Amino acid sequence: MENILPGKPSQSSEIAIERRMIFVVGPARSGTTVWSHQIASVFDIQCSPETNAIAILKRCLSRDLNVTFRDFERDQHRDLLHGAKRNYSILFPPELRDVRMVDRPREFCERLVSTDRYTEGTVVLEQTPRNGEHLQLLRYLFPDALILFVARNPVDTMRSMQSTPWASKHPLAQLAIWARPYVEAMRMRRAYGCGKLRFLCYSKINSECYRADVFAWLDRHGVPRRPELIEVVPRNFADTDWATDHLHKSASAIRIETPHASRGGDRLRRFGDRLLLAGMRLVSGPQSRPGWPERAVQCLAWVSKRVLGR
Amino acid sequence: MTVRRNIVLLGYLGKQNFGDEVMAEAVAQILADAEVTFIHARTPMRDVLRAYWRADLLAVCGGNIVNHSHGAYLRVTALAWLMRVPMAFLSIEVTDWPSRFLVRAVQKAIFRKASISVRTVRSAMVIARLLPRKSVPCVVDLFYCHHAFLGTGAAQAVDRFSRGSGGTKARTLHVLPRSFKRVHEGYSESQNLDRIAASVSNSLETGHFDRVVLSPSACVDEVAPYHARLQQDFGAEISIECLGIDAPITFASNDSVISNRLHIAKLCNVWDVPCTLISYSLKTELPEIGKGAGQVFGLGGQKTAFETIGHDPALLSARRDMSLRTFEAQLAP
Repeated sequence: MENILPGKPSQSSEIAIERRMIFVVGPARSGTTVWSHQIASVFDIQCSPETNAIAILKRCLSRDLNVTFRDFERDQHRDLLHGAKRNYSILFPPELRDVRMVDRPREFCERLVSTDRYTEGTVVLEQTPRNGEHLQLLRYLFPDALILFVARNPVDTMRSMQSTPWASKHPLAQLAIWARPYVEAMRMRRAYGCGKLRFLCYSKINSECYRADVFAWLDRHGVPRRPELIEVVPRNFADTDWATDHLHKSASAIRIETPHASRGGDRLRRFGDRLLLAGMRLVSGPQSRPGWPERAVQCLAWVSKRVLGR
Repeated sequence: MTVRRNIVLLGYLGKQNFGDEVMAEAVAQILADAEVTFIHARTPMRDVLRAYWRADLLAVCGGNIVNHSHGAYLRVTALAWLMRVPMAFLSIEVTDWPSRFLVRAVQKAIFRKASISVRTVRSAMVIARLLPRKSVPCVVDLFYCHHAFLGTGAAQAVDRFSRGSGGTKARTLHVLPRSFKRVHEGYSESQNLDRIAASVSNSLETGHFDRVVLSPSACVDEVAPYHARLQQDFGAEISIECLGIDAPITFASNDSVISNRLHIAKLCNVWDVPCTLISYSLKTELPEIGKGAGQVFGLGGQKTAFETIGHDPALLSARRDMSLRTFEAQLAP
């Protein structure tokens, strides 16, 4: 009989991390870093590095649903961390080792986002753009988190990707990178409503009035302000000179220049603006079915996926 | 909110199964203005056809309805798919895809067109494997959206269960097993008998109880074998009562519960009554219960983990508010 059931069960291994989270999401090169730094310079929050926590969780579970925290600690999932060196024995205590990640997805993400730098009770800002592709899961796991979605004109985003050394240079791939978070934001809104979700316009970051509006929104949600403004030193992907230089520019108040465009490009830009505006209007209003902007973007994403095969 | 006029609600109804009855009530409550027709998997085909003929939507409420062996729901949902009745799967659980090719293909075709919300992250991942472009939001169990659990204080009575004070009442160990008449994913009746008896023995050793009350957890369950086994093992040391399916049951705070039913464990979690859930399939190994008072024993006998949701009422409340919004969107015209 003892073999069928163990004796008195051990104490629960629940270790709750009570932190408030702010997620700044959006397509790559849409201005998540700039907005994060603007917010971190005004509000008393800790900026987390780009952890890709949700993407890692989803990818691990898409391989095997029975992955435990111990499996993750081993090398087999290290490739998902993009070379980040972490001490997993601190991140995951022994009580968690045999727990399946699918049982505690929120705890897994929280532990990956947190580091020993952060003290209990602080507000943590996570700015991985790729979280934008898994917004529904993010919202379910963190219903109490604030989500800021940075929207940028698709043509500008694609041009910005062209200028980076690491982004894909294929226009269809760039379009897909822009479209996926956009479609996911619409889906999230339809699924869960838009409580604690705010759209941020990249092009309005220089507007004092707009920034004050965003900060007032954060105030309303109880994010504490700093006693005095600080300049936030960027700490993520600072391995390369290019990235460091770029991020130092982002940290200071940068001027956003509208790229010079040809007549065709200008028309495309205007279409992108209209698409964004219409989409944002639909997102903030009552809507239970996909609107035309979402259908259009979904169609574009589908075409690019078919053509590229990824 | 504007809702559809004629909604067909599909669930394991009319069997006095606590969880399914409560979930159906929760959906009926969201669809306050609609005309709701209840059907289940064994409803005669003629009645199903009549219900579908004028239906605006088929709402499938709750439960682990898709797994590798697959249940009887497919017959009813496939008919709805053929008759082009829109479908909404509310807070379902998908533990695995059906193993047979044809069944899997039909299930995929049904899911492609339907609006789906799932109650565990695992279910969302399983669906994402076969339907990668399908948007599947996670929600809380429909059970938590019942009006008894909405608001600030938990209700004192749900279905046939009520909450007692426990002051001077004799301490009771409630046993609510389910019966396994056919081989259920490799889990048998005799195996469950052993595990229930082991759990009762464990409880009697660790705590002092005045009596053991045995009751079926649904009207299809046979408790006679359990009664005989418990009488044989513990009849000499403690009195064992056997109740009928209609008898009201009161859970006092100093009582303890042993059950195979997921939603009875969830109810105990809400009411802070210590509960041991004996798992018989994957769905009862991933419950969002806990709070320290509850424990889950997996198929292998090991104590399994549970989601953190049960530990944080604020988190549960936030997720429930979001989920209600999801259900309303799924049921909206």
